[in-house]
Amino acid sequence: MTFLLSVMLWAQEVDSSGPPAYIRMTQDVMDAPVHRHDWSGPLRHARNEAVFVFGLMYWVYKNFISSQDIDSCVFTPSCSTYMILAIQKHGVFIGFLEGMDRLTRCSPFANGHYPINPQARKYEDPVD
Amino acid sequence: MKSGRFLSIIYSLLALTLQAQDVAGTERLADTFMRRGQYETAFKYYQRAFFFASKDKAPELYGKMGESSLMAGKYDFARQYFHKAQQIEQNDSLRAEWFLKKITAVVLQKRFKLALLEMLNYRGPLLPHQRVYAEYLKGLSYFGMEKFDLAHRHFEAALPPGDTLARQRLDRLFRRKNLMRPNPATAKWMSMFVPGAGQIYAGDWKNGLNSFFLNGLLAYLILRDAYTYSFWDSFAGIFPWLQRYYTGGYQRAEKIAKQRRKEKRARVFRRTYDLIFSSSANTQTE
Repeated sequence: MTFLLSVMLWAQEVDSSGPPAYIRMTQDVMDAPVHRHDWSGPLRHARNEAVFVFGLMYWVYKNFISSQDIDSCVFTPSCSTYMILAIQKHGVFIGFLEGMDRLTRCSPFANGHYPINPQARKYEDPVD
Repeated sequence: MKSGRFLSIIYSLLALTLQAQDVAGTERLADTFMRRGQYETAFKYYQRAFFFASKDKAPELYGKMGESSLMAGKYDFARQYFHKAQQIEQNDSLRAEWFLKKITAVVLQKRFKLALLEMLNYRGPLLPHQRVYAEYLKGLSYFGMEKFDLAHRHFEAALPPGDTLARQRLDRLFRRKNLMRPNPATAKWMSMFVPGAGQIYAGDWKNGLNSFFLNGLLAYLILRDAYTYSFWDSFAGIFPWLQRYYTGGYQRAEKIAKQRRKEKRARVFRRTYDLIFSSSANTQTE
């Protein structure tokens, strides 16, 4: 029993091979983490063909058009993401209308009407 | 009734085997938590040990609190504890150890100038393995400040004197890779002249071609509308789109170049680290 406990504790202990841990920590100091977005979620989780078509349009837009644009949307999630999330949640018809409604609200006049997301530094407006 | 009396005797006898946890026991427990990677718990136990310990244990316990804070990612606390340990430590080599760990915390905060300033002002003696680490830290600080020639010199000094192969590798690493490239400003200007050129210069062909064709298509639509309808029609209808994607393109070229340059520097630094600490003479650094 004692032997088993010792083995378990030993297995839990941090690897101490090579230089000490505080030196090993410095090897990551110059790292530049890459934030790669994966826009294929709506494609993979489409529940019917219509949602799949919208998912495909979203994927093309995000990869080839939006990726070249200036960051002009004032909301988080962005209008395109909002629309695809609304379509996924409420179906094509209602979701599309909600997305169009969001587009009409996306302007500098949104100031003061929405809480601010401090990380994104944008107005927070999730899909209901 | 009889069994109750019997149990109370048994429990009273068991109580004789109990003892209060002493300072050494608390410290040992904290050390175990450290080895198991439970740094925040270890810190609490070191704090407890510090509270009850005698004054002569203070530098060591300050140092250990610094170590647990460092490992927990609380670099500011770590720096403060190592500094206290360094200030009151009587032993020269231990003082140097706390100092180097303090600089490690500063470097991990990416405050390279401060780290270098402290390193250059340090006048205490260093053991051979501490000198290696000090040179590495100086190199790292210069590297973070983009002074790559000086960084190269200090990294070279951190290598074991007889290891010519590692020295050659380090030379090759720093001479072959131009760590100032891709230049974000160049990428931006290139994309201003030819959309997509800056992205391609930075090594991102997909985004470069994407930007080139998108801007090309919009420029074609402007010309076509101007020819078919009127200049003002095309200016009002399509020019705002072109302006968006053209601006987005050169801003993105700058971002991509910055990211690629960071990645390149990170790769070179990782290989330098491996060269220094995989050298057989430098593996025993503690």
